[in-house]
Amino acid sequence: MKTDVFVIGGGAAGLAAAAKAAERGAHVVLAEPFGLGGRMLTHIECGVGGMTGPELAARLVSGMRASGRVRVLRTAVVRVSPDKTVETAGGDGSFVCTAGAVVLACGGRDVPLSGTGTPFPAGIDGIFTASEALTAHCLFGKRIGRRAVVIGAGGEGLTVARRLALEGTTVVGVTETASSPRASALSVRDCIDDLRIPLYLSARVLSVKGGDRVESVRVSSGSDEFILRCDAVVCAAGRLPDCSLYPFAEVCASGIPAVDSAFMTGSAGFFIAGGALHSCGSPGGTSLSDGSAAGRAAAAYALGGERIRASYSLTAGKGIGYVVPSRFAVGSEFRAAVRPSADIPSGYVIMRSPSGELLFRSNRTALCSGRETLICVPSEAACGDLIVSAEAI
Amino acid sequence: MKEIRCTACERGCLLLADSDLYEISVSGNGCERGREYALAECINPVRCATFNVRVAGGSRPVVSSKTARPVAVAKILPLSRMILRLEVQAPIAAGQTLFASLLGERIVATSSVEKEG
Repeated sequence: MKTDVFVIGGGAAGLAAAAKAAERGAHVVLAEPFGLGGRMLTHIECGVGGMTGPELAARLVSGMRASGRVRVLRTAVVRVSPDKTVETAGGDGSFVCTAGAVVLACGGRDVPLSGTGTPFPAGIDGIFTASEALTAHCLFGKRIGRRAVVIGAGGEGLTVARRLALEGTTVVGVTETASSPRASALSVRDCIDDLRIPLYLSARVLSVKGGDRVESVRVSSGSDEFILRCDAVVCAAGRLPDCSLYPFAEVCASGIPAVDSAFMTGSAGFFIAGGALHSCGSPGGTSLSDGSAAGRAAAAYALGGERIRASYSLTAGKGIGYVVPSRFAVGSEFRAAVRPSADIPSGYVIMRSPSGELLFRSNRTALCSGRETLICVPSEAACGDLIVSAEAI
Repeated sequence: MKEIRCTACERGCLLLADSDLYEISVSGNGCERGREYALAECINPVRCATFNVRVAGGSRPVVSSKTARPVAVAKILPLSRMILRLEVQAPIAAGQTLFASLLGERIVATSSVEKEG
């Protein structure tokens, strides 16, 4: 089988990439082993513009199908070769497909329990990651417990806490190691304020105890130590990019795959977008715009049209955890997703040349280490290598 | 005195609203939008609420749903408690009304569920 663009993953980024590539005239194959929509299907809350995840997913799917140039395979990708051959297995069957361009939009994964810093005992029931808890409730219609503790007050943790509370589970508390929630004011309002869920800040989970199933969580908050009784614990420690399908990708110092402003990796014709690349927050936001940009560029690459020449570098400087992309084309506007390494209640994202000359300063904004800030870099600033930093006012 | 977290912009100021019989005064706001937001939150805070509803005879055991219009915050938990005890019959199409009036609110499906088999 041959195609112009092969898209791996049918979440927000994959659907957007497939739709955009098809719109540009490319023939597209999209592989997704589960339902089209990915994480949007488990985020049933109203998002931007009052649209819920499932509604957005349905709209993206019909937009993608409207072109008539996308073939969807219900199958899992098992191998991607450097010559742009993609092998799949299971579901609709095993395929070997040679593509002109490959878009990896296979999503991220939850930080594994072992990597969260919380001492979870081995072989005990009732411990879930955020995605597992949302999937149980929203896809399988199963409750994870009667009384739950949520660890981590980021966007995902608050979404889970709210969903649990609305499905009859008592959320006995949300704990957060930072001194403020790592989520937007909107999520804090909808979860903590509206549903009166207790939030413990500067709080560390010391131990998780139980027999066959979780029974209690010991928390230290400042000089206080207390026990929360529960039968379920949800660990919402954030998401990690996952491009294990594509081990050839060059990775920046910050641990994020290196891509240019059209989301192409160092290997020509390979693109990475959405959760597979960086932590995009609630599904349907950044991953959508990532996917569109990657799909457009992938079609252009496969059909031999315009290609961007990304020759200048964008690197993370003071106060920045990582920045996407890491390369950009000279003289053209681009979007950058910047993850601050510390919270700054009111500050700027600043871009300087390596010699220290100030080239760009964002509007004043709240910078939160728990989520990315999106910056539109104007063409005037894109005139040489840039170093990004975060500064308080 | 009421504490309100402002959602008018990303900064998320903590607003303080104090009201007597005639007037609501707002402090802690970084801008005028914060004041307007605090007034709306004091008088009648509303939200779009979403729920999973149990489905009988469907290809999936639950369907996602939302209130047809934003509802008062005080209604969200009581609504969720009622919905937990209810069940709808497959097939369901996105946009379909699941319950015409629960506490005076219409609940509509936000996804589709096919009949089993």
